[in-house]
Amino acid sequence: MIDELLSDFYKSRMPRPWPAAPVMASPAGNDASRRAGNRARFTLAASVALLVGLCWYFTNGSQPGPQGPTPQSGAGYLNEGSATMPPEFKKHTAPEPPKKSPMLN
Amino acid sequence: MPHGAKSTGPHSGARLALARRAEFEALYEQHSREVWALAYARWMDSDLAMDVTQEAFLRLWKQWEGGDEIIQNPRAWLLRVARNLAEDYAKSAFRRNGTQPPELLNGVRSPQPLPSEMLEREEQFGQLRAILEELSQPDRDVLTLRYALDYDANAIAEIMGVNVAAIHMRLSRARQRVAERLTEQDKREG
Repeated sequence: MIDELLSDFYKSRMPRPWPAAPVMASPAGNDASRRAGNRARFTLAASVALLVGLCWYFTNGSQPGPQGPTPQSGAGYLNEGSATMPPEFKKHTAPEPPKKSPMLN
Repeated sequence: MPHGAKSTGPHSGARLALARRAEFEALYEQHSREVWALAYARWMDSDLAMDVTQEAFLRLWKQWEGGDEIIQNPRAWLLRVARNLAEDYAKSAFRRNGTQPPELLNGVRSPQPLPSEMLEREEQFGQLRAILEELSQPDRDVLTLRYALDYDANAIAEIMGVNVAAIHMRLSRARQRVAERLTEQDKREG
């Protein structure tokens, strides 16, 4: 009687149906994920390189080369040229003659 | 044995993976109930024992993947890991916080009403469970392997690493103790 009771008890505690073996990523799956990881790393590296290149271009690359005059070269920047004031500008900047007072007439 | 071997190409790698998986499933089929039984004997909690079993097998798989250590005897390795995991559970916060597994509720695990025979049976199992909890750990190990897996004394002796005579003695003593306690309870209730 005690044997039967113990047997029933222990068997009733056992999971039914018995669960399957735990599933792990297979080595083939690991290869695939490794390839995907490599692709992602390559994309990231290319993006960073592009970003650095663009930054460099916009800060240095768009300016004239070292042969040309630079703003720091002062007067040399105008290449010893001269400038003349446009006539329209002279007309606007010339002082107007003082108006005569009507009392003097 | 596929574990520990190194693949030399994509095709041999896939074959190795399949062979390894097949070997793993065979080991699971062969030994998972033993692992469960020892974990169950420790805490008398079926769900926890199954968690321990799955975790032990996952660790075996990771050990194969890592390839750091060749496991000569997977069965002994699994049983050792399962015992350690069950012991670790005693130190875990879950255990310390005193959350009761469902089976502590007199074996009644479902909120749905059960037929009267089932209720009576579950009540009896609840009493039996309380008695089993009072037994020593080795006694519970022996009883679980004997009655959950129908192992004979030789098989139990092999797993537990003791001689067969000791298993016979332990089984007999444990059965007698359970019978006495059940009789005492019947007298109290009757």
